[in-house]
Amino acid sequence: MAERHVEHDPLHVAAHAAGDPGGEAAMGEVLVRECGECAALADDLRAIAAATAALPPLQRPRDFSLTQADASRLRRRRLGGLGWPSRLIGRPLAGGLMAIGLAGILFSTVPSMLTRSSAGAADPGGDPAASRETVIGQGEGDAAHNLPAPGDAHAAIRSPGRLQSPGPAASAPPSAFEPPRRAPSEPPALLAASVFAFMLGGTLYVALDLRRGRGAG
Amino acid sequence: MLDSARLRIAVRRGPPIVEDLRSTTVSDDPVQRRDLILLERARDGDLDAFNDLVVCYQDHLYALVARMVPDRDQASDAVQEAFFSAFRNMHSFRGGSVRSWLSRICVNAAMDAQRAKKRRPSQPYPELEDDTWQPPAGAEADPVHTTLTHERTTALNEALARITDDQRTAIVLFDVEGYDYAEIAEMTGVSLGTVKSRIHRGRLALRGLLEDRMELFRG
Repeated sequence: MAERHVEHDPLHVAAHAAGDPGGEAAMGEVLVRECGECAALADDLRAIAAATAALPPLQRPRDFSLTQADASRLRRRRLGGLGWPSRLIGRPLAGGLMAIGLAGILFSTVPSMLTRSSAGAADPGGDPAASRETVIGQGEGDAAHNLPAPGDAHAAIRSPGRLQSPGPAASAPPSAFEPPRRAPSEPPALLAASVFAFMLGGTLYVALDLRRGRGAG
Repeated sequence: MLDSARLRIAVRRGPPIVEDLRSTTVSDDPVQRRDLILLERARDGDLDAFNDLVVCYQDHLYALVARMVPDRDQASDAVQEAFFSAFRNMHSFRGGSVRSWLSRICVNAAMDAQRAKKRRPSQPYPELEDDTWQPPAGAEADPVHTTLTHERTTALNEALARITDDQRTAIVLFDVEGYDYAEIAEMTGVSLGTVKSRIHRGRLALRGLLEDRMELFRG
């Protein structure tokens, strides 16, 4: 049997040496009875377990008592962790801020997207430069080039103001008689900043709150 | 199904009585009773009562954690953190043995320290030598026996520091602390079979590491 020792499962022997009940230990018992090397292994494992149990205790390097300062700090942290503002006000407030931010983004971006898409739909084969000028209203250099011809109904619809000023004035740059227009749906900078601040504040609060919750748990 | 007999019985049955063990459990064990009294006073804001518990258990808990985390500084930090955690969470103690509760917190702190060490493997664990403490030797102590014990302890500590964290934790809790498989499974959050496997594989690994020095352990 000894020559087949390499085929014996040492875990069965370990289970038997540990005194486990069950099939593994029973198989280990058979191995220990019939194989000298398994018996030696079991003896070694028992000796190691006994030596581990008899390890001398380790001397602690310092006293772990809490000071008054520790206690105050920990009490504050505990109160902060349980804090009612966090649960009753903080989380709804953060959720509200995020909702306001999201709503702001929707209100500021969707109308401009709709305008763009409707402009694109109204002039599917039109001159892209003209279309850009109509939507954004900033086409200064090529404005004269894009002035409508008398029979160009599409262009007349796109820029009706230009039709009222034909003739010599048409050769002048548009800034001379018509200030550049803002796109009607472009969000004001203040609104964009507020939306961003709301979103950022709400997200940060939720993230910090979740992190604090994990630490307390 | 709705008119089945089982449902009618379930409907008639009253709500289960939930016993609050925190203030009503009175243990027969004087040590446990003392611990519960100290904890109750600590909950009421008496820091000295909590520190009495620290004094009672800090030796035991440091020995436990230092076997699991062979780096002494890390072990100290883990024990201190465990006492902080116990202080913070003493209101959530649900009765039973204060010693087991503290041990569980310490085991968690030690496992956190092991994980932190894995994340930042700056250097492997130094071997766990017991140079700072030696068992008191009486006048009749045999120098040969003392030397043998010291060599055996050193060899075993070195080998323990080289097996995996999971195996070392299981072996320390089983062999040194005397917990049973089920308690270790609950403490470490793994199945009973995993605990057994870790202990058996850990002992086999120790035997492999100590193969050339097994004469220290035999006889």
